[in-house]
Amino acid sequence: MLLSVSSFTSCLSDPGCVVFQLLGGLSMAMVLFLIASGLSLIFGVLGIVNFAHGSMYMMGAFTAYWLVSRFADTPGHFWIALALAPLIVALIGGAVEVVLLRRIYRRPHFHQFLLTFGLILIIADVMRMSFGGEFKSISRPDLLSGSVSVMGRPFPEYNIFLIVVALAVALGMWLLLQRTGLGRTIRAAASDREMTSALGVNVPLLFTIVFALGAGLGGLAGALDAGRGVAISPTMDVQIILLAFIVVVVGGLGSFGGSLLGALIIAEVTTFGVLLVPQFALAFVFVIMAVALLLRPWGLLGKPLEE
Amino acid sequence: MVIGPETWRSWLPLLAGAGLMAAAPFVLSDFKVILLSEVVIFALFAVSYNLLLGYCGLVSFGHAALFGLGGYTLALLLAKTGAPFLAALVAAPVLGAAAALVMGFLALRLAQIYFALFTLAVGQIAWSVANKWVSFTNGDDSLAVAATSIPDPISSPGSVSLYFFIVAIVAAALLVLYLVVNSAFGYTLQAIRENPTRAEFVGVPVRHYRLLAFVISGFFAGLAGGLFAVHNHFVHPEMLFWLLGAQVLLMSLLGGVHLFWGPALGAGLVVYLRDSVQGVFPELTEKHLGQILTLEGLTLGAAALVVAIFFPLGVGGMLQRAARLATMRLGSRGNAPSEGQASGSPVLHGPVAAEEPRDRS
Amino acid sequence: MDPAGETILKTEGLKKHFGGVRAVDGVDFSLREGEIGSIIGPNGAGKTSFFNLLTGHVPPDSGTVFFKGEPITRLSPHQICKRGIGRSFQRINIFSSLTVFANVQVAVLSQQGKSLNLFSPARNLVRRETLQILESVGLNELAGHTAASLSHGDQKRVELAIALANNPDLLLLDEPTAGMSPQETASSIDLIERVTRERGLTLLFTEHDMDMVFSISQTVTVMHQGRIIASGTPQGVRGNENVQRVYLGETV
Repeated sequence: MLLSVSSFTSCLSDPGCVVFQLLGGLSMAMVLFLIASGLSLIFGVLGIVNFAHGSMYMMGAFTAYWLVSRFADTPGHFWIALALAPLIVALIGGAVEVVLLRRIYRRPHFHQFLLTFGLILIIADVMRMSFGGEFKSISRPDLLSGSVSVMGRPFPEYNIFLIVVALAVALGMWLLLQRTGLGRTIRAAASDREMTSALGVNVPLLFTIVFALGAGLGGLAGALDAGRGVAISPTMDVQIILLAFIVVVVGGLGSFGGSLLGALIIAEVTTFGVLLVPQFALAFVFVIMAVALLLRPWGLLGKPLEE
Repeated sequence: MVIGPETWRSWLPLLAGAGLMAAAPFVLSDFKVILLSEVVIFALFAVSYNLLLGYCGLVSFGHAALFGLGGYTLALLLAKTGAPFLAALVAAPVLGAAAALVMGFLALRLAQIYFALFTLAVGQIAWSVANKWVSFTNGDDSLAVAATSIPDPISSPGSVSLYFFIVAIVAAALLVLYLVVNSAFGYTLQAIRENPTRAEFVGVPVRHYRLLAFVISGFFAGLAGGLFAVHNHFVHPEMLFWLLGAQVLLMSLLGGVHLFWGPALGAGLVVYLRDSVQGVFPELTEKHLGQILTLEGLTLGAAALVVAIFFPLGVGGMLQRAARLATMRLGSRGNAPSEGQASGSPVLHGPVAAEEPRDRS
Repeated sequence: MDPAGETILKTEGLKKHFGGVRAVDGVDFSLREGEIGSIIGPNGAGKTSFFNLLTGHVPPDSGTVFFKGEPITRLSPHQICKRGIGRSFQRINIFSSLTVFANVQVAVLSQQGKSLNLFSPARNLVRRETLQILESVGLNELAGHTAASLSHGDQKRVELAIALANNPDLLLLDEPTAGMSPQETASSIDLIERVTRERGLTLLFTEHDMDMVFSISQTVTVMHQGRIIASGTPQGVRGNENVQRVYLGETV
């Protein structure tokens, strides 16, 4: 059956189910938000659509897995992995920006695409080489392996942790952007790239920092998701990048708040959509993306492209 | 009126190529012939894609959907309605064109990156349908094209007749595309690519022309898809997945988007690269890493990086430059600046990123 | 000079506001057939916006544009072009990667309705007409060169050639001598004047440079902050107090 109206309405009539689904969607939203904000940040400042962003997410997950396995005997190994993985991905991102991306900023868009697409292919194969093709997973840390009862249903403690961490990072990013010198520079660069260099800002360094930051956010998302127990595989990048694109389209490319809003909308729509149209949930989200582009391509909180 | 390359010297590579293609099935193994057929099909796909990419300056991420739609049209018609083979083969490009009309009509309202993302979304919608509508398309289990529904001499994979069938159709298609690209329409498309505002103000209805290019491109992508179905004897939702479109984009850029035959060269490079990598890496990886890996992603990705950074004109562009240098050094006067486009290859310098279509309020 | 004929271009109450900026603020303008008119004014006066309204690149908030007696206000640029208006742009707007020949050829093809020709080889189409135009602007030597490789002045001539290729009755030139040296300016003015005369065109141009205005313009219109503050013969405008105030510090 195409439409599962009965299961959809039965859930809607049960407040416990609604809250449960909302919370589940919230966890997904937080992960999507982290990825999308990184993507938006990179686009806003560097003007590049980083197609390899899903690979950052994937590297975060694999790195977390690797760290957990390597330090399995160290107490607190999970937390170490969670802290280090995004940093490692950020460093890799910075290196990629300096060595590769820098050379092609002035080129037409398809060269940038070619480069990021090449990165996708290379990173996927490197992951495959290092970790093999089978699915991996990490188990949740003992501290968070339980569940909390939410209106009569068990909701994993880890997911709550994930939501909290993501919100904390969001707050941190907001503070960074609004209250620090670096943040001000980033916002200035995002609104007018040429002016910023005229103001004496070291643009190459700024670009590297921003790219590393964006990559780190993607890596954090991957590490957090890995901790949740999702299957870690070299095909994760392809799946997540599409969702990330949908989020930034709906929320607005280049808008930090837009990433949050877009992630919330897409995650909740997907969660409830799966109830309604189980088979075509993913197609449904693409329909939203297509419609959003036709009606308001710069998203809810983005800015129209300059003419 | 001469429609091909101007000097007789420029005809040589074409004739040599044709000769090689004709001799191939008698010289190469069955497997290589199948591979070569695949190259030929993707050459058509890539060249038709380049009509949008190189000549119009539009990047579409949904083109695989048109290719896949062509393939599924053929497969579904043969499997479910018992239609005659030729009808199914004609239907593939027709549906490709129709789908392109719808996709393009909507997508061309959008500018730059939004155009690309919209085509991505539409392509993925098509993929989801193919993947999930299992009762109709068999979904992930792929839909077979029975050998019995294909007329005899071309029904066996790897047969010489099938090879020549594919080559003949693709050659005819490429000839048509070549004519289009060198026609007034083709020149106007390039002008649109260079400066849509200016083109608008020499009296060209820019959006309509882009849509026509989209439809023509979709027609031949659908044809390529239909041929692919005949070649493989099955179709699979992966034919519509955006990654396949990205690979065709890769082929075009690798070969050189500013040349008519660039994407065809790119198709050959990518397919052969993939094939040769199959043999090289598995042994090495098994010895050193304990597992068998083809590492085609690594190789292809590295090729993409190298081209993006060092050879923006693509391999074809490099070859063309080398050939020009060679002819100049050999003392011939080279081509005097011809009035009109450069010899044979209308697309001159690297295509500029698409500018936004005029917003009509 | 031939006596000017009927009104070929007229605007009534043309208005365009961009956000808070009144780019064009109620402009009533008219130009007669065969006339050479110019619009001058300081930067931001609204000259280019006015042109954009005329050629359909920007829709007006209110007001009407009449060309040869017919309203053309909300038509799209390519439709307006087909009616007989040719235009050059302030910043060079040509087909950079194409050859000079191709630049003009594409315009001629469009003019003759041959752009939709899908299968006949275009290389030698409309060759005669294209070369004719190139010759009239003195570019036939450079025909095979890539447009982007030309000097600034030559690129402006390509721009002029493209505008002429559409066989316009009215030619709108937006700051045609911008960025040119004095010699280039002089030869540009000669060229434009000759071409206008030979083809019996009506010419309307905007300018900063007063040489062109005073050497060939028959009527001068002065714009300031989106409005016309004076109009008349070059000498009359020069003596106008309002104009002098607006141009304080500039030699008029």
